[in-house]
Amino acid sequence: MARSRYASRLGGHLLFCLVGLLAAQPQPLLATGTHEIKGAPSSRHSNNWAVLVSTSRFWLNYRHIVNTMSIYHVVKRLGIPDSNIILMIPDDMACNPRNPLPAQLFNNESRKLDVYGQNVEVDYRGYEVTVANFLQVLTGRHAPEVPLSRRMLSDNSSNVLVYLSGHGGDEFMKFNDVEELLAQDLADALAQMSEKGRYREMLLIVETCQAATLVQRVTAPNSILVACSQKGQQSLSFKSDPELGLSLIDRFTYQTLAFFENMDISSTAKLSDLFKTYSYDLMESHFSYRMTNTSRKPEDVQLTDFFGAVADVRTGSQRGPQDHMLHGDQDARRFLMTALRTDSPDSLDSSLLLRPPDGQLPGSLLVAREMAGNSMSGVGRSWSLALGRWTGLGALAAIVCISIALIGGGSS
Amino acid sequence: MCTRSRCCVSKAAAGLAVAVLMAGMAVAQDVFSEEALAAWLGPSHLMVHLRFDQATTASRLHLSFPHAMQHLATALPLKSAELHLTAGRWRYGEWGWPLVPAKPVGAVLDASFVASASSPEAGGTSGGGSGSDSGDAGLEAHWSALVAALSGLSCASLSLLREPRSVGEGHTRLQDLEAGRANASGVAGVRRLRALLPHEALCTENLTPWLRLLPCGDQAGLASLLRHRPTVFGAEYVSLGLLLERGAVSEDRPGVRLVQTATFVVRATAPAAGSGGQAKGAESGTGSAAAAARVMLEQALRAEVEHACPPAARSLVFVAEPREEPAAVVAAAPAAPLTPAAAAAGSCSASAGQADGGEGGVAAGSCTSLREAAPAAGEAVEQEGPGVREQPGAGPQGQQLALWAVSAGSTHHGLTAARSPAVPRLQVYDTLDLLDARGWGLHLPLPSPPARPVGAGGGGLGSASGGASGALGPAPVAVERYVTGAGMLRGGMVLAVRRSPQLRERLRVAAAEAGGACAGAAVGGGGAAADGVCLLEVVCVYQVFPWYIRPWLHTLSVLYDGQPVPLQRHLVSRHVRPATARASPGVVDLCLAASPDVSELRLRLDFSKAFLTAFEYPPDAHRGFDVPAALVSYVEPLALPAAQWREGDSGEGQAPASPLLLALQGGAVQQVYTPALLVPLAAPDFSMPYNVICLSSTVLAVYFGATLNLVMRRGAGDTAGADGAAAAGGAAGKAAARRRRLRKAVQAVVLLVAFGALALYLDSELREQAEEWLRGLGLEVGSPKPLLGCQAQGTC
Repeated sequence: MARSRYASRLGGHLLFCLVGLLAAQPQPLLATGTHEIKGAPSSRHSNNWAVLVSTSRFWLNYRHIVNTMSIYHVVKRLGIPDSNIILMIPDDMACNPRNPLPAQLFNNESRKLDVYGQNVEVDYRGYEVTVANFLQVLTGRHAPEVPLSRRMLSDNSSNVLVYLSGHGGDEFMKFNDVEELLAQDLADALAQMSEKGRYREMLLIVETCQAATLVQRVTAPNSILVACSQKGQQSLSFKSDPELGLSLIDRFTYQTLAFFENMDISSTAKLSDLFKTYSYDLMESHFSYRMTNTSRKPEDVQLTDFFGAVADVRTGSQRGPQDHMLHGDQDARRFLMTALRTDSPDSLDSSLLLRPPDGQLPGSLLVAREMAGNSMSGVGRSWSLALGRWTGLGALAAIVCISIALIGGGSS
Repeated sequence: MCTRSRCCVSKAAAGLAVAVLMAGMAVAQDVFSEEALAAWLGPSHLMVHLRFDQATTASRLHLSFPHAMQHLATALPLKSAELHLTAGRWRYGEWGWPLVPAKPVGAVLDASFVASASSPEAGGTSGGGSGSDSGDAGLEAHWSALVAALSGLSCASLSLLREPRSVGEGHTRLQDLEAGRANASGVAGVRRLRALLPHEALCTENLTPWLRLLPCGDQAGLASLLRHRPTVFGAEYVSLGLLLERGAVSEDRPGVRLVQTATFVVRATAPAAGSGGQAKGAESGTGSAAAAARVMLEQALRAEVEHACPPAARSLVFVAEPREEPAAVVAAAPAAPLTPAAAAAGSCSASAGQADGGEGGVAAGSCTSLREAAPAAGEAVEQEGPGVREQPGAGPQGQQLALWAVSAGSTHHGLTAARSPAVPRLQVYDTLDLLDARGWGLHLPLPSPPARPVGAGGGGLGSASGGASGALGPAPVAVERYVTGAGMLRGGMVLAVRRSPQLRERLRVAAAEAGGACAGAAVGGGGAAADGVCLLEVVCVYQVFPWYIRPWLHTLSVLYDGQPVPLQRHLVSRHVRPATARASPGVVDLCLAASPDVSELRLRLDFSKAFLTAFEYPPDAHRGFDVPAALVSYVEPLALPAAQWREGDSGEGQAPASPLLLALQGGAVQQVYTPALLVPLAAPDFSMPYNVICLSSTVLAVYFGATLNLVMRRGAGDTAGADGAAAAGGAAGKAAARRRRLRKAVQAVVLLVAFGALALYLDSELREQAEEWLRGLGLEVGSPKPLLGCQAQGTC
């Protein structure tokens, strides 16, 4: 079993290499038609993923969290389930002690729309929002114990939406105020994603100052890169609330949210429709987009392909899983019956639920003074550590002595 | 395609129906029970505690039990795991002693693992040390797996706990202090680990997965009391708990138990009796005075319980009665039996045959007055001193006497002290009855709040102001901890434990009754008995120090009532583990004996602070570094193992089965967390301008240094050449000097070019400026700028 899987994987690699070789051949070898197919993802995507990241910590960056939560609100409203959303929020704004409106985040001082909502699942938060974790989510290279809920389990038929909001500059973006995501890192991560077949098509939206510089190095195929500002331009905030004492949201995201609030999952709005609503007058920055697959146009890209969800259920056989369980074989029924061996709720209740709490005193109130049981576990280790250190020093001294002697001998 | 899928669906539905049918026949391996407790903590503070218990013995097919938790419990050698996420501090001074133990701010994860049987085998093959190492490695892996799973299941950033640097071995539990069990790690093959994350936030994102573990979520049942998130998270104290435990129904039927608790203290003001302004929330706007004067539970939480949760085997609401209540409430209740709610309230608070009208029967059935009494309640009332002293001279209320109880069969330690009203009287309501009777909502009126905070009690020993101690009364123990010293290098920490006079009195009496060493110790003033110490006078302190806080143990001094005492004489148990830098935290776990006469224990310890490397600082380094809360445990003699909740006036009724009541009963060992501490550490200037200035200054300094070195220095070869030239004379010397100067000039140019290239490479703006200049000179340089989307679109 394992061997065959390995063989198939090997075969896949071989095939991949072959394709690579073919692709490396000059033009005449490759029919233009196949090139078209490779370039444009023709078949429909089968699932959606969203990676929504805010990168700014501290209360004064309320708006960056609201930016990300706005997009979260949009994608959730349009049907992407929480299991397919990786949300990275570096600071707690909704329940921040400074927030007079607990468990709510608003994009507007009218406070009509609570973008935080009743149910929200944050996958990475606080100090966990790091460049490393972000890139790991994108490339799928996690430590083995990372739970599935924190991974992006996309494949080559997934449409992936990545949204970044935070403070940035020329070709970098600050994460959590201590580290930077560089444009080249981002480009490499996307290239790796496309190599590993982790997306079918990607929409990357960056809301930061000089956002265009962050995505300018991306060359990964089939990615659509949208940046809210050009080099030298700021991404400006919008809508301040006197009670919170802060700006609430950034202009680009406000415009985006306003567009999507008037949209539902059945909409056929295209990316170009969204682009038409961005105006310099409101944003005071020039947005830009770039499509690495030059054959695609914003007029072709339907917004719900990225912001909405597709629930496409495929079964391997004609029978459903329940059929296997119940009708397929006779053992299953027996198995089910053993699994369902009865325990009356009363016995469960009395033996499991009604268990007295811990903390009862022992029988005797008298306690012997127990000093022997004291553990000073660090002592032995520190001795060995000291030993190692002294050995090292001794070796160093010996080397110095020998070299001095050698030098002395050489000079004389 | 369509027909096939429909066929599939119908088949699946049939299969599902069969499965459900079979499950229905076999009935429920899963039990679910939900309970709520509401208690006033002050005139405007209402504590609400929700508890959801689930248990299962099934291994895969669950009706209501969350499979993820079951899988977690069985995949790891887990005995129990307890996670608490808390925001806000419990104000002991104002709110009194909590009915359910309060937790420290942030996240606390406690886990006990069954020590695997494999480690002794490994030890057998290759020495004890490696065996324990492999055991540790296994434990670490289990811990890491548990933390990862729980962080996924709770949306908290618990992965920070994965590093062993924050994990301490479990503390010595007071109840384990009995001879032979004092070694914390070795109790019955169980390894206990605990870690605290003081800076962990708690918000809706933690509640969402927490609710997902419940069979009905927050859509039905008592959990819908949590539905208004701003109220829940606007509360002054919020704590979410998750306890996963393995148990067994019988030897061959292992089971898993999951307890979820939510505790919060909300601000709820009782409307003024006459105004009825708040009563418009309840639909009985006709404004009966009694109903208007009371706060409805759902109104206080701005949420409604609309449906019952069908899988719930038990759905109860307990309402604690404030202490000074009875006369006023009983008088107010029968005044207006207009609405059913008011009628129920009246009959409940009167707790006897106050039922009037047709629906009185229903209300009386659903509402019973519970109080605590011992099995042998008859002899309970008048006995030794403490009870009489504590009790405010048989006040107006007769039922307070009934709260006193004696554990008749106290075979354990002969402690026959009365159990004081440590736990208040409770009214119990059945949610199903409430929903049946009135539909759409519980409409559960709360008793009128007390006039002043419960915690701010009279303080005096025999004060007539209720005199209540224990839970919902003034705290028997006050704990305080603070940092002393100034500067970034060293500091000190003081931990003070103050026992209230009532507690000391109780301890004294209990010790006298226990006889033996306890009595001797009590009489002798403590510490005299060399061979043994009375457990009643032991106070344990468990403190974890992160490795960057380095305590100096020789500076540890103990003060009893301000007088320094020798540590060794009062030490009962000690478990100290020095920290290993960047690997494990330091643990100081001390149990001290302090006779009941001692009212204040004060521990003082100096520490020094470590320097961290640049990448070890968190993003908000200037906030300071958290030192996790210390845990102080002591023995409360009031809690008796044989106490029971009984119905009726004299305790002859049936004891209702309820996990919440069992938990309220508590154990004799009480634990209280100190607040977390913030210790400032020396932090470098992380700001960007500072770093830019530093780096560019360094580069400039190196450049100027190199150039000056080149220009100014006269090398050995130079002087020798000069001497030689001087000796040789004119032309040759000049030529040599010219060569030298030329060489230096070349070197200077090379330096300039190298550093200029470096600057151009590093600084893109400089590069652009240079390109501008070159273009000004007429040279065509630079690459064309990438085409922008808006340019392609023509919008810019």
